[in-house]
Amino acid sequence: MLKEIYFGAIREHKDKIAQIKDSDFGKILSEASSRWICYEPSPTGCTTAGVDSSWNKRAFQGLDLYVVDAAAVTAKNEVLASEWETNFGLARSELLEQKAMLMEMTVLEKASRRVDIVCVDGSLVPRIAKSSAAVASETLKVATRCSNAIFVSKTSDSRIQFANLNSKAGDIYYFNHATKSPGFSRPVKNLQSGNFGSIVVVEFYARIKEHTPIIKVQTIISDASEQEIKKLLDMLCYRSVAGYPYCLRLAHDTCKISNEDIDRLASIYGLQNEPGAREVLNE
Amino acid sequence: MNDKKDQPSRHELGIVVGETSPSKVTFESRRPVSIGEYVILTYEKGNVLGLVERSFIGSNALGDNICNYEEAFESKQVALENRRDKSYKGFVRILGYLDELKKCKAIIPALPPEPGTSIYEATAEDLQTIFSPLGLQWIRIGTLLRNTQVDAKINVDKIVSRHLAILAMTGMGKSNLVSLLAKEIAKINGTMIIFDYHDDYSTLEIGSSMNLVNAKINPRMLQADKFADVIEIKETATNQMHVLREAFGTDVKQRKGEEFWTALANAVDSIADREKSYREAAAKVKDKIDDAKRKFNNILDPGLADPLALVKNGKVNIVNLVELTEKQANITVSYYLEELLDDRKKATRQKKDGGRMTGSNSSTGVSSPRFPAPVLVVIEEAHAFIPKDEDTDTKYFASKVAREGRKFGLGLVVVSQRPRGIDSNILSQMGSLAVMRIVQQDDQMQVSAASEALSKELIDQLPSLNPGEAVFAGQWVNLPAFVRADEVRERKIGGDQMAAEEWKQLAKIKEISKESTESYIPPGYV
Repeated sequence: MLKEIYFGAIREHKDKIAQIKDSDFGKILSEASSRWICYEPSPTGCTTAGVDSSWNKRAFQGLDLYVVDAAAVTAKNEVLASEWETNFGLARSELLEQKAMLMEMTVLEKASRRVDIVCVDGSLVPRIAKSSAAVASETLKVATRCSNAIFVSKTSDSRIQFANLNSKAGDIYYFNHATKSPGFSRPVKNLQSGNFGSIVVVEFYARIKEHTPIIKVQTIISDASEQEIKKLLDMLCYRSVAGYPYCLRLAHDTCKISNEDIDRLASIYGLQNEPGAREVLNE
Repeated sequence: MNDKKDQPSRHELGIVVGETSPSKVTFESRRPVSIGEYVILTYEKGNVLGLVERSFIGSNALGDNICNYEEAFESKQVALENRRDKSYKGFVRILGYLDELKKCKAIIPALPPEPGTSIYEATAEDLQTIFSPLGLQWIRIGTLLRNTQVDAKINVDKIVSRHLAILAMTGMGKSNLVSLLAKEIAKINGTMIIFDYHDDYSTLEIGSSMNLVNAKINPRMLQADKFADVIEIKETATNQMHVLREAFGTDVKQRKGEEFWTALANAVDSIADREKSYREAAAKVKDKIDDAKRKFNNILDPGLADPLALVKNGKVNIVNLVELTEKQANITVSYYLEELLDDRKKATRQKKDGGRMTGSNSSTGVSSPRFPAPVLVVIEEAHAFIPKDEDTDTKYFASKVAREGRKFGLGLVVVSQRPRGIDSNILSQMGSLAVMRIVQQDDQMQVSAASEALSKELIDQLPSLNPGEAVFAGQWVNLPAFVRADEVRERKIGGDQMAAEEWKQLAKIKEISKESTESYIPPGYV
């Protein structure tokens, strides 16, 4: 099977790449370049905290053991706030994801008072547009209260900037290919409305150091002027590694729940002899 | 055994983590730990001593996944602020219950320590009794490498009875260690013989305790084939060998001094007259004898009494082999070893029989042994004298000494910078080891195969040792120890040559002599 897949890739790689780098590709790149504001951030001392969450589950027959946690961690590796939950039951992935998002908001609020900037891992828009009403309203409530919160994504499938130019990939792809210098894209206001009401999310792409990957930043600060963004990038630059805020890496390391962790937990609960769902596959 | 009452005074160094075994544990330390540090683990039944055999420092921010300098620079900055960033791991070999070790018994706990067990720094008091015991047989060699306030002593009795190998790269302190042993043995009036192939020890200043012997060979005491080696007749020259064998008879051997050479020449001539087919070979043998007389005038002495008579009891005897060829040196060392072993056998028998210790026994007509007390023999450049893939005379007798020396009080110390070149059978019989820096993997493997006392982890650390630092293992120490040997200041040469300085001095002298010559030339003379 895999062999056929590899042969298929060898045969069709030019066609597949051509789907992305089609006749519109150059046009989109030049548009992305025109929207890019070159700016080399100069590190400004500040305190930052990263917020991240994790969930994992071990499926037994008719029963799941799950863990969800979230943490706010400073660039000095100080845990400012943490939340966790573990239980048995039927735990759907979407449900666990939503629990994790709610926990992130809880730790965000706790950490927000103690640092200059809080970086939350992931996009803001899906939290309000694609999650349950409870998650969306809680996210909006907390994000509005925490004026120093920003949402940082390493990747994005958002296509709001170049959709009119027939873009096939996410906007971040074009900015990454069009530019190499540090700077940021002109901020774009993205109106989101739903049961929770309506809110304007300001988003921009940024490169903190040259030749590093671009990150996507979202905030609900209404006055996200170029000057404000430059100030923000100066602060993010202060403790970042390879163009990514170090506090987010530490938050990720702190809350990560690996398969080994969940196995250990299953053992503590005495579930090691419970028939699992994947044993028939020898996994 | 339970000495938990002194725990509060101890300083916690770290905590045992990961899977443990009764002989090995890993711990996370609050500071970087050095290889060779001793630590204490607290067990239910008492404190246990451990040795740090490996040490690692890890960084979460500065991991292996760093792709470029910029990233490394930024990571360095964030790592400095993150006090949880660094991991200091130590791998400890458990050596045994501390109280039992103080009584020279190594008792390993039956159960491994539980993860979470505290690890403490071992105090000087803990280590003093183990590494610095009292008693005439314990002599100081230096200090423990990581606990410099603790003397490192070795048991000289065990060297004499179970032998010793000193192995290291050149310049790492082998000769210094031999000198140190010599100095300390001289203090207790021991008898030591050092076969000095590179003239390393003639400048050792230990006063009247030293006896410098220039190695000489009495050809009359040799077998014909060994004599052929000495005068450089090739083994493949069968006709010449035949002539020499025929000529080198009892009649010739009985002549002393210059008469020996004349008798030998005459014997060769008579063979040439008698057997015409060997005439040419006889002429060549005569040439060889003449050459040897001229070339080895200082070495070959047919008037010499037993060379062993030059070696003195209760002294450090340096037998200087520097003027000898490798074959001659080999014959000399093997001769000494053979005679020494015989002498010590005789001494042991007489001691058993309750006979007199020294002097000739006129009542029985049996001569007394020259060496009534044990003797320690040091063979430098052991890979040349007791090589792996070649049979030499020294190898044969060294092997006998290694096997039988324990019973008769003849200790052997082999010293080499190329352990892989030494006969493995002899090396494996060295009950004690002093291993300094060794980088070559072949050498490390040979050392590892030679001793069970050295774990793989210890062997792995050998390249990181500095000059003068050594791992002592085996029977001459109570426990494997990382040691910093004292420097013997009474020894003047042995280090690397200071060529640049000497050339500079030489140029200066030339300049001075030129100036002084010019001063004698009247102005306008030239």
